[in-house]
Amino acid sequence: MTADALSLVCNLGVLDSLSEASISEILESWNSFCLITETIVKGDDADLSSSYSKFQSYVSSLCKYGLRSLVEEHFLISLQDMLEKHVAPKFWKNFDAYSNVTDLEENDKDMHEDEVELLLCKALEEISLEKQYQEKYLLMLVKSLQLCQDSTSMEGHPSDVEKFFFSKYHLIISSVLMTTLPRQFPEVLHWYFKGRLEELSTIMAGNYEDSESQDRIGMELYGKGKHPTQFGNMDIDGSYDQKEILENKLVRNIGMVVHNLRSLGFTSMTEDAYASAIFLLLKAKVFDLAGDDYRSSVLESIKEWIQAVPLQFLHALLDYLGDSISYLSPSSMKSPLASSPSSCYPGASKPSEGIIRWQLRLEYFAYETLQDLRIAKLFEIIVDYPDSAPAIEDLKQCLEYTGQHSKLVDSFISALQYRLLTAGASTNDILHQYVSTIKALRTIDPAGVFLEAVGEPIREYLRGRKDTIKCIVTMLTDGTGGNNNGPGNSGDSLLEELNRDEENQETAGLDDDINIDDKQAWIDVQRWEPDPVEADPLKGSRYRRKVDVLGMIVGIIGSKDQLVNEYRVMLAEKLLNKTDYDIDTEIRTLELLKIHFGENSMQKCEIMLNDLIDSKRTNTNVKATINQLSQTGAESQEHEVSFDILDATIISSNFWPPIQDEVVNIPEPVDQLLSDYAKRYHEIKTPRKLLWKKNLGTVKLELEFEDRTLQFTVTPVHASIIMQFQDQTSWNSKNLAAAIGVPVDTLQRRISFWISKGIIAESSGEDSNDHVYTLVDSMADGGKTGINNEELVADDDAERSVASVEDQLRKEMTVYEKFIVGMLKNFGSMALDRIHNTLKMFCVSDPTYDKSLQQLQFFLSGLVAEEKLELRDGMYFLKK
Amino acid sequence: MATMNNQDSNNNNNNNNRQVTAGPPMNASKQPLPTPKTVDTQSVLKRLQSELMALMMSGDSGISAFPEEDNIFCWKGTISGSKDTVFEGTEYKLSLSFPNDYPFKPPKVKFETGCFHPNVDVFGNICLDILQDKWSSAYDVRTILISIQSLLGEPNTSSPLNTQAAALWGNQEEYRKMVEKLYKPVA
Amino acid sequence: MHSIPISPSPSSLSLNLKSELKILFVIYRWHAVASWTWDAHDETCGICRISFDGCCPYCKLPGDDCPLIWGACNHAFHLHCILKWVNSQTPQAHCPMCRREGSLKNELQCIEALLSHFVGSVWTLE
Repeated sequence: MTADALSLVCNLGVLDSLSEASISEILESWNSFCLITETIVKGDDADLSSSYSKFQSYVSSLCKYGLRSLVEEHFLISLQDMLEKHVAPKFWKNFDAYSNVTDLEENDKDMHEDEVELLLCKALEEISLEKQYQEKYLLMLVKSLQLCQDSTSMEGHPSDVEKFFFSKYHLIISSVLMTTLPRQFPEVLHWYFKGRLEELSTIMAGNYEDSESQDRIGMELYGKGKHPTQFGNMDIDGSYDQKEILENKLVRNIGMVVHNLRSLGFTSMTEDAYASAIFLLLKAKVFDLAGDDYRSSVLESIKEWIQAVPLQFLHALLDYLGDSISYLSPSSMKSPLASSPSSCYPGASKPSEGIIRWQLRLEYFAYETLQDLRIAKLFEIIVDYPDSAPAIEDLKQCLEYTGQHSKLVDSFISALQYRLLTAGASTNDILHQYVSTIKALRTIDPAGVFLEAVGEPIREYLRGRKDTIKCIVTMLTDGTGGNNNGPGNSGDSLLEELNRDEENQETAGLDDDINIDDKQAWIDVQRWEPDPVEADPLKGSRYRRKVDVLGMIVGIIGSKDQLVNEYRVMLAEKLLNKTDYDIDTEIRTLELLKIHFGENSMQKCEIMLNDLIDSKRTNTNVKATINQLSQTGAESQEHEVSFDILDATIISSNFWPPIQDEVVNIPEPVDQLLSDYAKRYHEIKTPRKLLWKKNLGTVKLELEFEDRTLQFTVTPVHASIIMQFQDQTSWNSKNLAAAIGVPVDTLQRRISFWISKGIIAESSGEDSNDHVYTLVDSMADGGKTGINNEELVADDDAERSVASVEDQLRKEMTVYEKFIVGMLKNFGSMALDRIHNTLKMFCVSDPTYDKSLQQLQFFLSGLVAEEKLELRDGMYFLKK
Repeated sequence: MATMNNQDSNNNNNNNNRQVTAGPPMNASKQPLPTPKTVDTQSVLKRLQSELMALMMSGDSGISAFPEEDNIFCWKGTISGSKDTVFEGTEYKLSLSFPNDYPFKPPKVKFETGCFHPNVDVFGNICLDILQDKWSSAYDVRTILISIQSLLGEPNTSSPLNTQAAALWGNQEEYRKMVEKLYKPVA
Repeated sequence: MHSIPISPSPSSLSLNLKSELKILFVIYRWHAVASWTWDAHDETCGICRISFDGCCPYCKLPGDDCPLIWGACNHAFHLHCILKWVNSQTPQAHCPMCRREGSLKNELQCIEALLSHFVGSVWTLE
């Protein structure tokens, strides 16, 4: 043994002064010491106390000769030898059965769990016992050494000596075990903790539910407070107490295991094992709690659970260990994961630093887990918005904690591509999802940064759809367009809702450049003043950038003008079908649109509404004075129609979208009324006069059969058709079309309404192109009685009274072409972007140039192909 | 009602800031009376835009004009010499600049391409009554260009700016040669 | 042309016999649509180039708020436009369309005074 040799060498000087007797004494003592050490260490000695006195005398005699280190060395080596040869192999033998444990299936593991628990406990108990013995032997050595210390007086404080030996011993035992560690042991530990924690969780869950239900009962009976809970606990067969006992026992049990493992030097392996078990359980719990229900927040219950199960477990465990560890292994190594055993205040109410660190770790993990879950289901959550607002709120908190917003963006975009932006989805659905996305994500991301990234693919896709603008306008202005589940009246339009939002946010609505006319922008710029110095920078105007839902909707189309134009077409349609001049809703909508798009943009719409207001006044005026005339004139009322039935809407046609003029011969008496009306108008308003648009308007009429009355609201053409049957019950299509003054195909399209109502019957005429229409008797219709009120929604495309936006678009293209030719004529050659800018600059009204550079390029290449233009070196020329 | 003072109004740099209104500034739109506002470029803008639109859509051959890139008050025009005149086959560039009180005052119109003509001087200034005292707000870019186009073929030789041209006008053949000799089209 | 070669059902035959007596048509509401227009002989105002049925550049609402005015020469203008024209001419104003001269200015100044309850007036040049 080199170490021995070395110590001998060191003491060579001493050897010189030794007598023969001394040498033999040393040898004898040494031999006896070795012998007795072997006996003690093997644990064979029945009478330890008698051995101890002998042991002590050998030690002191050896120390006398300065061989103390030799003694120490030998004793420790003997202990190590014992550990290596007997204790460790015996301990590990317990786990031989699980040598292939890592290969087992999950199910099999469950089956072994109880077994593992018992085995581990038993094995740990055994080895701990061995360890205790050895520590006792070590203590013998320490004591013996201390006795002879006075004489040599070389060492420090007695307790330091003891500490020194014990730490040395612990190093030995843990290195022996570590070097012989079988590979399945960490897995076995993990199993053990997983099993125990699940058990604990079940007990806790029972507590939690019980106390909750009891709370509820208690609250009903006694009002709020803690007392009913306690009352309840005692009341129900002491089951709570049983659980508490069970729980305490379990924690003690686990504590014992952890304690034993630590004292064997498995500190960090143990922590890894229970940490991974805790995280596994937490993950399962989060999945379980979160589920597919987005209508309630789960974050709080997850946090509660963390408090109730893993933290309480850790608390109890650390408390338990804290008491004992401080005595047994004061210098046990702390892993960075470990909480410092709170030995200073065991069981104190103040949570230890370790517990707090654990709590933070667990919560972070829970946030991240929940966040990943929610992000994966974000599409469904947004479909469910605003009902799913709690889930969004959870997600927001999670992301604030983890900062992993980019995960959300990537995952959501791919969900959108896959689920929403497909040919099968209706434009309306896409738009609603877009709006929900904006609303939902602005909770998470008030600055709108991620929203920008997420929104772009949707906008891009919508731009490719023909009906996008129309759907947007409907969604904005129709009562049914807004989200019915939102707060407020279900009949509100999205615009109304947005406005309410804005009022709630109490921000000046006009800080987005989409909202304002250039003129207004200029005024704003002139009025600009810096934020006051004392303003909170976070609340300052420059940071108040909020997500502008309307702006993001307009962003789909690119310009507000197209939106406004589409709205105008829709508004015209609506106003032309009004019979009561009631435009309160439209006025309200217009006011809202003015706020967002500026007054100038809405000028024409305003005039349209104004026309309705004027019409009402003029109508009253005309009718009042015309009735006077006819009464004073006392002419016979041969037609049996009076001015009472007639109302008129008089429009300023320059400000309305192009209106489809269609000739129709309306019934004579009504026609007479119209010309009288126009005459009177001309008298009142000279030099203004009226031009009737006879195909437009609404007619309410009644068909009285002998057994019932049917009421209809139809277009003038429909009314003119049916009125023809008053004097003649059967018509062929050619004659009827001629009588009404419309083409035959128009007649056939319109008359189908009456056929579908069972009023007119259709049959083939003499030749195949001819049809015969006949008035049907009421009897054929099953004899319904009473008044049957039928409304005709004159909304199929053939019946639109206003030219569609597509028609207007075709007209625009011609204008652009003329402008391009005009500018090239005078400037010779121009590059693409100069043409683009010039069009933007000067083609500003009716139509307004609102195309993109790409669209223009496409258009120009068409003109080049038609040989109207030439393209050379990036410059366009007129073809000579 | 204030009246305007416009003796020097053909100078468009000296614009209608000089127009003075009585009474407080008010919203012209609600007012039954048009109060000449100090700067009412909006209505001039509207008029010029509608002229541009009309000109583009009119399809007149031989005349054309378009505003410069960033300023609708400055246009470039092009007229071609009419058939059966000595100017046939030539093309002239013009500049038109509009005052802020257009159309109540005429625009300033100049030839940019040199034009050998009794009523056009070497700087391109044009002597044409409708651009001076005979101006009417009913004229527009189109009618101005048409007038200039017809002026080419029917000069007023009694009060010429270019006496040489006026003298030569009687000999149409020689005149034609002169026009061809001096004609330098813009690239 | 009142006979039906192929009758769809027996009941529609019986209809022919009695329908004239049995069915009464009543129109009880006819809501018509018209557009108004100035009874001018031209479409656009010679001064502002905007349609008469639109409004002049100084107005926001057409119709009553932005009336037309006719000269003796029968040329029509937006009232607000011709006022501006007349005010810009010194000392004598003439019709921008036909250059007919007259004491336009005085006439118009009288009209201005009356304009508060003025709709679609006629002015004379001489």
